[in-house]
Amino acid sequence: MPDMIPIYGETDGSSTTGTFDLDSEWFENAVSSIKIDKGLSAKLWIFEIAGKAVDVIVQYSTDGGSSWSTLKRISLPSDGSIDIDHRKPIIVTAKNDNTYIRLTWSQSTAGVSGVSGVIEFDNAR
Amino acid sequence: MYFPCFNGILCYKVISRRNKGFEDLVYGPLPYTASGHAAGVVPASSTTGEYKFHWIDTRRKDHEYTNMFYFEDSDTLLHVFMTIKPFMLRNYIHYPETLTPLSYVKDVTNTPETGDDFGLFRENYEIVCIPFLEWSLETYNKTNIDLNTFVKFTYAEYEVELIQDTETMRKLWLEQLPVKKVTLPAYSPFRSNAFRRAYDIDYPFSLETIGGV
Repeated sequence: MPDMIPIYGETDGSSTTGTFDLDSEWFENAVSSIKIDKGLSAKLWIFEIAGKAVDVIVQYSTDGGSSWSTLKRISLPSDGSIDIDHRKPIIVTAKNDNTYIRLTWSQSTAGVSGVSGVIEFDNAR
Repeated sequence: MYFPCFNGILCYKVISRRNKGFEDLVYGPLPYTASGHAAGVVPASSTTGEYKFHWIDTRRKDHEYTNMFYFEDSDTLLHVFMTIKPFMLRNYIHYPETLTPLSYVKDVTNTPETGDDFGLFRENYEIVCIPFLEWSLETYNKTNIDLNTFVKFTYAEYEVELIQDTETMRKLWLEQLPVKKVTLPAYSPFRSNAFRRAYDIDYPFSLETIGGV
């Protein structure tokens, strides 16, 4: 059975842009990006964003984090919360040893916002 | 049970299941502690090296303390389904212990200590433990995350009788009698006194001698 890994992170409250440190009960320490093991797919199913208005940007890299491409931008247009439950997940498949995903934020005014989500790790098909 | 490396089988008649109703055994984190990390954490880009599951209870006999799937009763089999979480981890089995896994047309080996792409399993594995024979695992974390781990076993402890009648073995192999077949991850020939100590035979019964091929 593939794993459903919950992740969560928070903006630092003082920067208008930045990269989320993502934590989970499966992680000993939070990480700023998640390496997907070769042969696996990461499926990003659910996002909940709460707090100050923020854009959460889902990015992936296939070169070990030197360059990043944007997959999706999820907006919380005003203070409050939003739940995004994808009927189809965002899928990133690792075909090499350098595939990573990360979440970044962008805010017009810096403030504390939290993001949580669920990533399913499954064999690449 | 089929041993590919010997092209041989061991057949058993199940007399009873001793642990009926108590099949689940929650083990907890992997029996491994990396320097500077909590127990059971496999640090990023690292291997655990070979390990065996052991009982926490030190009152058990030495051998059984260091390997909970080691036993010496020839009338016993342990049929174990392992679950090693999380799914991202790469696991390799050494059967028997210390032997490098080898499982593709006899000459392709893998190297668990580098997290090889070949010959790994993720999360679930089925194995049958026979007396006197020890196997081990190695787990590699290819991610950039120090991962907590969790292990659970679902197992059956069978009271069994080894079948040595050639005709019955042949019928079982050819599925002319009701049978559950399990292939063991024994791809590389090995010398072991386990069969001698348990059943007074040198190796599993060859399919050629029982007329199964």
